[in-house]
Amino acid sequence: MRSFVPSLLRWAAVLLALAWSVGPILLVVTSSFKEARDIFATPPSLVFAPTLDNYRALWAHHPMFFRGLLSSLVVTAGATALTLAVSSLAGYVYARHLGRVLQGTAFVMLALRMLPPIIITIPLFPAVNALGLNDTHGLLILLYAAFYVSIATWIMRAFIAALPRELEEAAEVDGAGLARVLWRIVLPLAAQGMVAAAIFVVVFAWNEFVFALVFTTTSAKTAPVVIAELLGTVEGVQWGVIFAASTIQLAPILALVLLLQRYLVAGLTAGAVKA
Amino acid sequence: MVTPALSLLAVFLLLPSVYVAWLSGHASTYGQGAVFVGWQNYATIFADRAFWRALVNTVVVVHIVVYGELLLGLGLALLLAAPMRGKGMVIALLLAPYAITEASAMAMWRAMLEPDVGLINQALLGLGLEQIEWATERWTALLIASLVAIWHHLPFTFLILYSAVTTVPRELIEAAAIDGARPWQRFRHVTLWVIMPALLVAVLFRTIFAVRIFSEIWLLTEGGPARLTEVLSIYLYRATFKYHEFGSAAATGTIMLLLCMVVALPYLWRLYDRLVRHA
Amino acid sequence: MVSRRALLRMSGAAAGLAAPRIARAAEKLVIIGHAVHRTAATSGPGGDVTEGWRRANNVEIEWLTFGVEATNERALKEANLAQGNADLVFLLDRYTGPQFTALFEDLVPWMARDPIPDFAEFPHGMLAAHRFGAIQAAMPFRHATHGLHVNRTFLAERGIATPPRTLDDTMAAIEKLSFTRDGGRVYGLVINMDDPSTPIDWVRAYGGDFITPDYKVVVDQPGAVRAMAAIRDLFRRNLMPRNVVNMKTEDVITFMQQGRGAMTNQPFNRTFNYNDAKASKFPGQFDVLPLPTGIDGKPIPAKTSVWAMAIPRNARRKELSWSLLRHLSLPESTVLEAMNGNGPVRPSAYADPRVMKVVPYAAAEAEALKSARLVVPGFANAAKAMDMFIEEMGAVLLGTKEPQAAMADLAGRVRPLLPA
Repeated sequence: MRSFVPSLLRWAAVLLALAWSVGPILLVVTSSFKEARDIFATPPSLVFAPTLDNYRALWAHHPMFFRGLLSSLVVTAGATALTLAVSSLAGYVYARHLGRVLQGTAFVMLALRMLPPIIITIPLFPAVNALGLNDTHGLLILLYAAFYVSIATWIMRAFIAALPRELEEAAEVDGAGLARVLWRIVLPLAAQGMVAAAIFVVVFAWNEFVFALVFTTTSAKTAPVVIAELLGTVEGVQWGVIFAASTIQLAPILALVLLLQRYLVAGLTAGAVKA
Repeated sequence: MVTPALSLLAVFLLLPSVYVAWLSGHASTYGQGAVFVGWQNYATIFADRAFWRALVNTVVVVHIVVYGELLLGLGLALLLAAPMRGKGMVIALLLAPYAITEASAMAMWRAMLEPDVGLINQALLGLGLEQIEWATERWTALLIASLVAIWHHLPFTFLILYSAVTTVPRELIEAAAIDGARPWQRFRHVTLWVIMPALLVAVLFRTIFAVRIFSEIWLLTEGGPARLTEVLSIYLYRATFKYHEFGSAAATGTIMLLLCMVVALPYLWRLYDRLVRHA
Repeated sequence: MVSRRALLRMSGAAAGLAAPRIARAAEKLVIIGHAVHRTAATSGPGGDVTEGWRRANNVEIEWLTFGVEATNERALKEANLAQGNADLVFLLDRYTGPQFTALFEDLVPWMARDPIPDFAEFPHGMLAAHRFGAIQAAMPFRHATHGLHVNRTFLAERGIATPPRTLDDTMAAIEKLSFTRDGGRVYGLVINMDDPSTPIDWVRAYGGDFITPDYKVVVDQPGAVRAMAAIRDLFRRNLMPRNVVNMKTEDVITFMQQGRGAMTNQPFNRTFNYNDAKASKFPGQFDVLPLPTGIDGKPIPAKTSVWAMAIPRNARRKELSWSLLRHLSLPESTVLEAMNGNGPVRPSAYADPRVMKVVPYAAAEAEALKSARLVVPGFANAAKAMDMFIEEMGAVLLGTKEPQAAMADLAGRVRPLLPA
């Protein structure tokens, strides 16, 4: 009995926490299958005949959203690849080589990460246009990589530093060059770190809003921007359609986070706690 | 080999912020070149009541968000520290808000908070209570926006703290328990002591990120009613995108930058100490 | 886990994507506007007005559409670049100003070269909304003029025989139309307060104004102060939504569609949204008529705003831009656009039988247009001044300031912003 009550309390607390974090998401997902008039029914309708009307309306009237999803996919893949490539190299160097100047640059990297992103939208717009990069996937990829390269580098540094040096040294003795050592030995062993670093970039790039809003118009407009536009249409807010779009947008990333959550823990442990 | 990483940072973060600092000393709008005005932009901002209100609101929101997340995050971390069935699943679900984009998050919260018909207000009315007047009361609106921010970012804080809590050696706690320490004492003298560095990191990171809070408030109230719930980034947004006054926008940006630097100073100092001086 | 080969492939793809995008094909014309402009020009009972022009010129049109504020912002941003991507942009009167004239073509010489037929018909007030000194910075395309929308069902349920036609009747009706229905609250009057365009009608109803066309601030005069007191009274008596200070146009639409508001003063063509069978709980139940008479017994001057087309200085094919602008301004085009739900800038369009047939409120809108006024005259700091109006009005509604004090503060803050 004594251990039963606390464990009951503990479960109650856990359930409460789950309701808090998952409840709003469930509301969006269920509402996306309700008729427009039922979404704000008084009292709320718990039992309802599910309908795909909202999804049909989204498909028929907002093709922009699906193009946005495609853009999001391209940008997310690109930003993740670029960030991983760049930060694996940097992470290796920071993990294996010490030196005042070098570690000074590591410091600058982290310090720069403290910048509020909205600030750099002011000067970047004309510069981006002069380069013809406005409304391109490439620009978003570069921007997202720039904002996540320091964290990713930090994570990679921690993972690589934990690897034994002997393997690398043995390969070097065998005459392997740096590129080969990195490619054949370090990166495969630090694959977990790459996944951990990647998941942060993926979530950020898939969901990012401010830069996408400022720097895209049509070709590179991402899904979050389209959702925000749906929230502000003159035809009146069609909650059902917004919820349908949100459900589609959040499903893959939510699945990914749920599946790879242990890498998130590992990445944060490496990146933040140890730093 | 660090060049690609550093050049990305230099081109997209360093150069623009230097330019912003430069621009803050100029008057500039569309169709007109920048004209040097010295400290004029700062003087204008400091004379603007709306700026001070935005600053106060930012500070208030940052405090609610950071302490709220810390308490909830720590509570959850301790709750889940001991073994339990289905823990992996529970943690995964607790992380769910982290995967949601700001626009969707705001859509769901706006829908729940709709006056008269939203789920939360219906529940309150059903219980015979008053509705939440987030649209008309400054502090209520800020509190709600903070709650939404907490909802959205708690996973981050929780994860840092949970990772730290799991590193507390069980033997230490057990030893303390054998010595007759009560749960609270065990927490204070063992757990808290071990997780302190992680706790500080969480506080600093969340503070720096909370200073730039934008969409939670923008999508809830747009800084209204009567500009009462504006925070610094909305003030900056207005100057840029509504008034096209790039000089004063840049000055606001510079102030935000300095604010973040001040907050980050202890952390950066420690980092500098470890990385550079003892390299 | 990402395989190395996949990684290599992805970084290769990233490098390719980062390369500057190839310039748009030459025969494409880019327009920045709001979705309503695209609808007016391309779809509805009037059909696609641009079709013939596109075929004759062998040009594709790409519409980039945004929200109201974002349309103006994007237009200015694009026009400010060394090399622009936009050929024709839509600007709303209160978002533009004399400080931006350098960004756009002066249309006076273009008209001299290639005149728009029957141009004399364009109302002077609409042209003035986008004229700064001698420069015509943009050509009116659409006006949005306010009428009074009422929910017939609610009127009948509350025993009101006819929609209110005087200010006193309106105030009485607002009170009667605020009631509980099916467990939910219905509010007699719903307005948006993201800018002064809706409140200004009520300020003018009480004989007041904000800034006169000759740039005099009169918002601290008795008329505006009385209006503020009256609106505060409505709010305090729970006859307007609790969150009215934060409501935007979209929220007003939702309120009307959901049956949470009985009356509102909004652009005439909103009636299509309120009556929309798919979104509204009261399809076909909304009427729209000119605003009632004000305190002086004369019709309240309805708020109007004017969307106009401008050619950025940096546009690449200005002849084409002008050609399209001119085409969209032809008498026949104006009629077809009106049939697509546009507020026509040529008064003669209202008399066209085709318009009268598909636009139920044509006569009422033509009537309202006669005395319509802009929210504020154009000047560099108009956006700031309007924000201040909303800020001080909000303070009145929230009870932190008395109407007289708030309006005096407002006048004091706005006067230094006006052109000397």
